[in-house]
Amino acid sequence: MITRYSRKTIVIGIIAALLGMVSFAYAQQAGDVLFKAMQDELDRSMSQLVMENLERPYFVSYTIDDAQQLEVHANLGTLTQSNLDRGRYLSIDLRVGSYSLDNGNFVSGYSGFGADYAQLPTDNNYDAIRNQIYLQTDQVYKDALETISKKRAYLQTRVIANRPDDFLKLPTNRIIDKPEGFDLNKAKFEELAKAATDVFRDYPDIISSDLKIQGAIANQYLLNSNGTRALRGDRLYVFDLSMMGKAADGEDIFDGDRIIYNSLAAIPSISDLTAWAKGNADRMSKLIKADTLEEYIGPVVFTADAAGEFFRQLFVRSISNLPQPTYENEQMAAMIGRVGGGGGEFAEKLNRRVLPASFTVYDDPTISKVGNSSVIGGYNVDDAGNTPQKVVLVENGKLVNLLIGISPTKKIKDANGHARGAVSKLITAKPSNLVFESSEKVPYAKLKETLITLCKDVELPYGLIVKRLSDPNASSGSFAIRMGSMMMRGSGGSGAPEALSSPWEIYRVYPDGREEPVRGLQFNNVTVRILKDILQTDDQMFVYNYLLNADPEMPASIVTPSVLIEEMELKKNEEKIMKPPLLPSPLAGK
Amino acid sequence: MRELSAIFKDYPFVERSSVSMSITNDNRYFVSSEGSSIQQGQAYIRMGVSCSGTCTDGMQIQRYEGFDAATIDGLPADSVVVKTIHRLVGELAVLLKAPLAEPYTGPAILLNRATGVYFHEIFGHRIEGHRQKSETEGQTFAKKVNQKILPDFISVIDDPTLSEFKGEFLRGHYLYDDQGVKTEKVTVVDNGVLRNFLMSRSPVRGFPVSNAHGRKQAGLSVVSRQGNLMIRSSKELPFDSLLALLKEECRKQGKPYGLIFNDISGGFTSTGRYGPQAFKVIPLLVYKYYTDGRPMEAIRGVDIVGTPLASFEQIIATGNDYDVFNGTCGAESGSVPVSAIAPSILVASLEVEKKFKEQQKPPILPPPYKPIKTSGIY
Repeated sequence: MITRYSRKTIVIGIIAALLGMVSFAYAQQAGDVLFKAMQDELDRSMSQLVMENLERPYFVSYTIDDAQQLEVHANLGTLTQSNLDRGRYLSIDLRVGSYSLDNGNFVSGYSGFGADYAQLPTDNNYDAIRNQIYLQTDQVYKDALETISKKRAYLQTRVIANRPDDFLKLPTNRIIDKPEGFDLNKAKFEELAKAATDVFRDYPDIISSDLKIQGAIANQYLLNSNGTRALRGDRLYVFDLSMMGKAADGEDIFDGDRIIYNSLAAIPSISDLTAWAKGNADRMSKLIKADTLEEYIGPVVFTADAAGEFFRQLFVRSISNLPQPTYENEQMAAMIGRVGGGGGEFAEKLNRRVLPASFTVYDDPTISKVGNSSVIGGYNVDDAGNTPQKVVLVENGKLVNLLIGISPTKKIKDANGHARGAVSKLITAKPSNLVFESSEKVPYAKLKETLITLCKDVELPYGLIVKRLSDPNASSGSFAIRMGSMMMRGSGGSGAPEALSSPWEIYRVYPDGREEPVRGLQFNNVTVRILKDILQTDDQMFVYNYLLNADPEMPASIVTPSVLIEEMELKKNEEKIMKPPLLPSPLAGK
Repeated sequence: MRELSAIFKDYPFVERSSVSMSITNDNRYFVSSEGSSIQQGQAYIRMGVSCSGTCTDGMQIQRYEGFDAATIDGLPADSVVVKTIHRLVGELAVLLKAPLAEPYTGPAILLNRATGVYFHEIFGHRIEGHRQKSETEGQTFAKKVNQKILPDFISVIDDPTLSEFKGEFLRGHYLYDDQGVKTEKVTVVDNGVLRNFLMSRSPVRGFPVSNAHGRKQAGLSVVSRQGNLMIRSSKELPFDSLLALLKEECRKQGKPYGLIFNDISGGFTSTGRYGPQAFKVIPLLVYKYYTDGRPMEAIRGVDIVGTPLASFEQIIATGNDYDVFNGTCGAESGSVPVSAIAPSILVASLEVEKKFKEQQKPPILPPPYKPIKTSGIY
């Protein structure tokens, strides 16, 4: 028996090794064809592409994302969707004009805030691939000519002081990573999804639940007219669980959890993933039965996921997408801001205090670990072919630098390797691994003690600890769950969304340290200025992994301690409540 | 598919081209409190070939042909597809250099499949039951039951029970509709006289019963829709005679030429009261047919426009060349597969107007690859 087993193992081992070699050889061949097709058409575009008497392109960059994508959804132990796709996507950055004034950073009408892309053949056929590159280049060039004429007309009729250049002179790089093999195993992830969601059969209170597993393997080939040539291999696995239940009074309760890995080896086993799902279901069951609170004004602790999400919503947004483009239409600018684009609130805050003096914040795409914990936001080359760099953003609470993508800002004029984008999304400045450090740190128990003391000072019977916030960019779950997450951004009826989304997991802490889940609250009147009201942090470094723009092509991490805010205002959720289902779940009592 | 798609490489004026295949297996399960329990499955296979190019004035020209079947074996042999690709490329070449048409009113022939689309758009949608009672609808035919609405040699039938016509697969076939009603042959117009509507279970005055035309795309709500729409004629002529009649009609009206519509891509029709009760149909391949014996000449850049009641009065005669158009129809209840079966028709007067034109210029540089062989068409 033993020999038979071992022989089988050896055979499987050899097959696996062969498969690895085959997929690696395939990727190599793909790279040769893709680079050659891009280079040949780039040379032709730079030397010959010109429309009667108009400008030639001064810069062209081609990016091909050669990708395999998996999306599996399951609930109650059954698959509801499972797709394994293969695709190649071409994105072109073509610029006419000059570095100081070109067709970029300008939103005219409804175009200019997303990025066009074309699908390429997945066969390694030089002619067919190059033909698509040729047709897309032609289209993008014509659009660029149209945009720059509109932009020039716009700028001529406005007074805009101290306008920064539109584009950076990017250095020439050659950064060739090893390509990843397309080895997503659909059956394996289906099995994981089914096993993990089967536990929900025991929780009839959870009306709907969904586990989305995304796998994304992408080799990104980049080539530009500055002579840069880059290849980056990425892989990512996202486990996104969302749950919805109804409290006895009819309030919709949403909760969820997300875990992200960037290596196949890190993926949890069936038993680990099932335990994770069960842990979430148990927590959710308690939240459904929790007491409601009408309002709260007092100290609040954000810990674990909530601390990460707190900084993501208030800090990451403020330092992303700088410089903001010029909008031909002001209403369009406002609309983009409302749907979650925009950002860049810190554009004018350089050398001003944005956090307490005890804080240092840096972003470092070159690391894969902080302490013993893995972070997932790093890369060897950014999405514009730049070498990544560590950037210290905040020193002693003061904003001292900004993340730079491909366009300089008024004061920071050099690239620092933070150009990030994805298929269909523009390349802009975005964080990677963002680390928050505080010099005034205490053990968590002490932080909780401070919270209790503050409550006693103002005669509050309890304080609040927030462990999880809803994700305003949620892209998973049933329609109801997604709508729930969006609504829980809490517009409060006044129209403008709160800067901070509603808490999903929240506890009241009594003077004796006892914690009790509560529900039904949302934040009121939060702005980025709340960052300056952080009173104390603990000495833990919690890693919060997330996806920029909910896109698996843009993983990012926030490393943060728990934070205590001296005073925050929470009010009752203002949702219209629908009654719970009339009949009990058919799964109840089974 | 790879081999077939490589044929387009021979023709540098083809900007974009594709060979596609889609296989849809649709299983529907239906239960109701009345005791119905229905399970039905249908496979839809469609192979499509298309090519497009840009005229020097910026007009985009596209040629497409689809092949529909219920099984892979039902698809045509490769040689047929190859022939079709060459025909489409030839038509594209001609259209890219064809002169722009001027607005025109006069006699015209709509070829069989073009007639099918024409009837589907401007007639079929107006005999859908739910449109007869909504106050916002134009109700073109609501009060015309038992009256003459078409020439007396034309009957219109919708028969979803048919799965094929002369060996050709019909996409509009189904046994039970999406409200669990068993399909039957419905004679809508009998020798020119309106007798019935396409009914779902939503009744209309005088028509209290469904005739199994309640259809929908998954996830949407049922309204009445077409299935296999058939245009039957008792005045069938061989195509040559139809051409002779066209010439005669032109002379009678003092027109130097008539139009022949070879292919129509569909169109849109406004059945609501808010807008005009008009339709627009988008022809893809149109020829001028001269009365003085000059060869036919392809033209481009026209749309057919008109108002439904006036248009139907203009049908003079039909061919005997029934053929099938398979398509997908979009309306309130989503996309549903449909067929239209019709002969060619001769219309005494049809109006065309200039179509909207894109301003995009053709590619600046030539294609980067060398044709495999030099083609005769280019």
